[in-house]
Amino acid sequence: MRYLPLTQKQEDRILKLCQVESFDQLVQSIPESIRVDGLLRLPEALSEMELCQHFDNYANMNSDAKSYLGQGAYDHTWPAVLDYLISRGEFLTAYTPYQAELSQGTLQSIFEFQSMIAEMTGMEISNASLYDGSTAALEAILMAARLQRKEQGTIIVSEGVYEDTLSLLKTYLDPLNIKIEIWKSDATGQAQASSAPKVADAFGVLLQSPNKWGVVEDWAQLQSAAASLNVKSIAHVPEMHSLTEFSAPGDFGVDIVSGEGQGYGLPLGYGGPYLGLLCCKKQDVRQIPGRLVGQTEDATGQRAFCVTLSTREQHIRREKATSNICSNQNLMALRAAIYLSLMGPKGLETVSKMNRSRLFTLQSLLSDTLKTDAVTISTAPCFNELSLHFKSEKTCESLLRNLESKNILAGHINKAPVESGFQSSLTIAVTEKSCPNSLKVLADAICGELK
Amino acid sequence: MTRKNIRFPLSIEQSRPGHTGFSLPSKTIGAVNEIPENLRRKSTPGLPELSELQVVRHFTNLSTANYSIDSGMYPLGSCTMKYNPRINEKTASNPKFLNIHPRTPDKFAQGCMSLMYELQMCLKEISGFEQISLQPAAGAQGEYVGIRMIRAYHDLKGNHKKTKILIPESAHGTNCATAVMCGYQVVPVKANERGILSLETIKEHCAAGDIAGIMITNPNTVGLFEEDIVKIAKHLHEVDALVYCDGANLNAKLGLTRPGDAGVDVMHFNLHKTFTTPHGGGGPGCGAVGVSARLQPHLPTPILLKKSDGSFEWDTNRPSSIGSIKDYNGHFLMMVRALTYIRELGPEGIRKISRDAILLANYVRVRLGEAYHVAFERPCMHEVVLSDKKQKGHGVKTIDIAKRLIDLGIHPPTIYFPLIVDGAIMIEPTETESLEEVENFCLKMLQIAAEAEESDAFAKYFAGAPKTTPTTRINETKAARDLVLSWKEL
Repeated sequence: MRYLPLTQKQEDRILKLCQVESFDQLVQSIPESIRVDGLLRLPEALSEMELCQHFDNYANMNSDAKSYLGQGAYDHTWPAVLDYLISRGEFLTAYTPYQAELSQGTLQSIFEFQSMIAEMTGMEISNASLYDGSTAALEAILMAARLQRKEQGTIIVSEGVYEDTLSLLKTYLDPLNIKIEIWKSDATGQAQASSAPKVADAFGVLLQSPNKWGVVEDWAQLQSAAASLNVKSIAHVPEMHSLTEFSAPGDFGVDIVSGEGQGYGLPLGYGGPYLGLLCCKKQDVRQIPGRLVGQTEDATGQRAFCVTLSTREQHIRREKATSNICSNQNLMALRAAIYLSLMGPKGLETVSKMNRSRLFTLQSLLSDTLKTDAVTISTAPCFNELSLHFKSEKTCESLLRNLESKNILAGHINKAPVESGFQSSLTIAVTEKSCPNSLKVLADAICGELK
Repeated sequence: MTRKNIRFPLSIEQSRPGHTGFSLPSKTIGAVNEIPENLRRKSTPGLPELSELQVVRHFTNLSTANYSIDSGMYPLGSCTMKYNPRINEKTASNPKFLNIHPRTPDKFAQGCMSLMYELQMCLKEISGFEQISLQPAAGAQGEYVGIRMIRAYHDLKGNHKKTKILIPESAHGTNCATAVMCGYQVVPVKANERGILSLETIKEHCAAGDIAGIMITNPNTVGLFEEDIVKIAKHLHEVDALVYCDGANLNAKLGLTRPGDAGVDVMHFNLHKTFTTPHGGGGPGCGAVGVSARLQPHLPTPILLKKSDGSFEWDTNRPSSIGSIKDYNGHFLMMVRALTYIRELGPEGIRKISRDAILLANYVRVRLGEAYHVAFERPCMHEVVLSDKKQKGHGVKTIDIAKRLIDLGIHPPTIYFPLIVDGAIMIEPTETESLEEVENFCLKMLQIAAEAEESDAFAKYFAGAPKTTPTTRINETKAARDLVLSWKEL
């Protein structure tokens, strides 16, 4: 077996050295009653050739369809060299960098990652990554509670937060007795500070942008809502490309930024691994969860990097830790760091402009041809995703199903903004990869169905 | 910082205006909507401008500053740093896996779903559990799901007095942090003089009726099998408490014994340890959980179901579920890698994993057993814990042994863990190392033990180690004191 080099002769030698007669004697501590008798009923071993076939078969069982799905996961492109660099064994097969002298490659690249994420969000510091966007939002909320010294209380969350994120937050916050209060958006799907709920025991307010309808929010509203309640502000950014041309939360003095970094060169991969992001002010660094890499020097005075402030973490602090997180998304953070190094400010700007131009194309195509009172095309400023608001949930659903039968996955159905008076929204995602011709096909198909 | 004090300049320090590393059709960007003034970004982010070759050189140079499995053995106890087969990378890089959106309707994602189902079936057979969820992102999130389900179980039964979780003192730090995240109080449990839990101690703790469950690592972190596991589980169930097993050490049990058969109610798998998905310098992991029938109703949503026609669907309609715990469907691309490994090995290979891992750990135990103090003098499972007891007298501590080992070209074992062994040195060779590599490691360890006995040993060999590496002993105190976490602060 190519991964298991120990030979029978060597096994005999080890048993003799251990002064036992048989392997069974070595594992005597396992009670007889729970020892596996014979072999497990697992499928037979496959050769490399057969393995490739087996997994190709699975891949081919996925049906091709033209997808306009988004909601926190986007079909962006990246330079081919990224895949080459990330597959280097020195990165791929390294352990967590606790032995700093042997991990300078990982450590410096994470320092660079932290720096670039801090630059993009406009925040002072970023951690070394969390699991994904929604769990990052969760950690941001728990961090806000710690900063406000609240064990319980209420977190105010904008109506535009993904429905999946909201249900995840409920799972985690329920046992901690933290309640969630919704901050309703206006009719266009934007949150206004004036309508933020006044809750006495609130400790934080979270605003997601771009929100579930694709609408870009105004961080000034978040700040003003948080200030009037005297609580911590959290900006949640599920698509980092939105921060290239739209405003950075850090520039408004936001306390915490959580986000999803999938857009920075990570494949869709049916859901993961992705890249959770968390940033804060330096004064609050002792309450940020997850790994942090800091600059220092070695014995000769040479610049070096190491994991720092570990006293926040579970392996030192145990039950008093800021979070239970241990493994994070290091390789994905490295991927994002390489992606950003290749793109630079010009590359990001081009991606952002292309995305906005594709969305503009779709919006124009739809408004030119969509002539029905049952549907409205959102005109709020948006990024990557555009919503059609429907008076009837049924119309929206059947449109999606009918397009599905034509192998077009036209988007995701959300509840429409409550204040809008509409029932459902079909949120359609485009990226720089969506070509104008296929957008025409999509628009025609939608208009055809709604005629 | 002067240039000569810098081993590798940061990417931002190599940046020159006008350099680019991308290729996009920038000339054909069409019309766009104007961004309203109040939403327009005012600050310019400080990102590097580099050519493609600069980026390639930069990251290639950085990679050479890493130790990795590909370059040498990692005898890290409790970490199971085994070889990461490259065929896993190939199967996981199929464009039809890479480019499929996580919200793709079931009908269009049957390939991904069947693959996940096969992995679930394999893990079920390996562990002896009723059902598997592949959702959790990593071990710690798997732990969370486990304890959160235990809580849901008690909440449903109205067991409101059960507010505490038993955790052995030798447990991983994640266990304690997890229990607290689920609203439980931690009750530390001492091991007996043989290094394992005794039924009597557990019974005493359970007497007050406030114990919701126990978090057991088995084999435990001193590398010993919890011999009373079956009796402990039975007793916990008698007092309506549940048993969580930390799956970090599953490697020792593959094909040999199954936690489900021992009465465990829930265990997380570390697919990135046991089933060779690469560690990536600290993740991504994949922390699947397996459960007994008691906890089945509480599994997180969505649940992968096989319908009578053989097709698959995601089920979210589970009234007693703890709900959603992770975006989308879990780390799918990691699952492809793990299943590739299981399918390559087959039942014989899976059994040989634990056998060889145990044999090699015992080889280390006997080879080093005279030169070093062994925490528990009897056969171990897949890892063995030594300590610096014999070297301390010469002024040489565990940290010095570890740093000296770096000078000799090998990554040190896990040190100062578990906390119950003073100056612990925890060694897990793993089955993918050849006996020759393991012997080479032992020889280096023996050399260090001999060096420690020489006169003036500390000054001669240990002071300031590692000295031969391109980056020498790192000042971790300075990092925390003069905190610099971003290049903005340079």
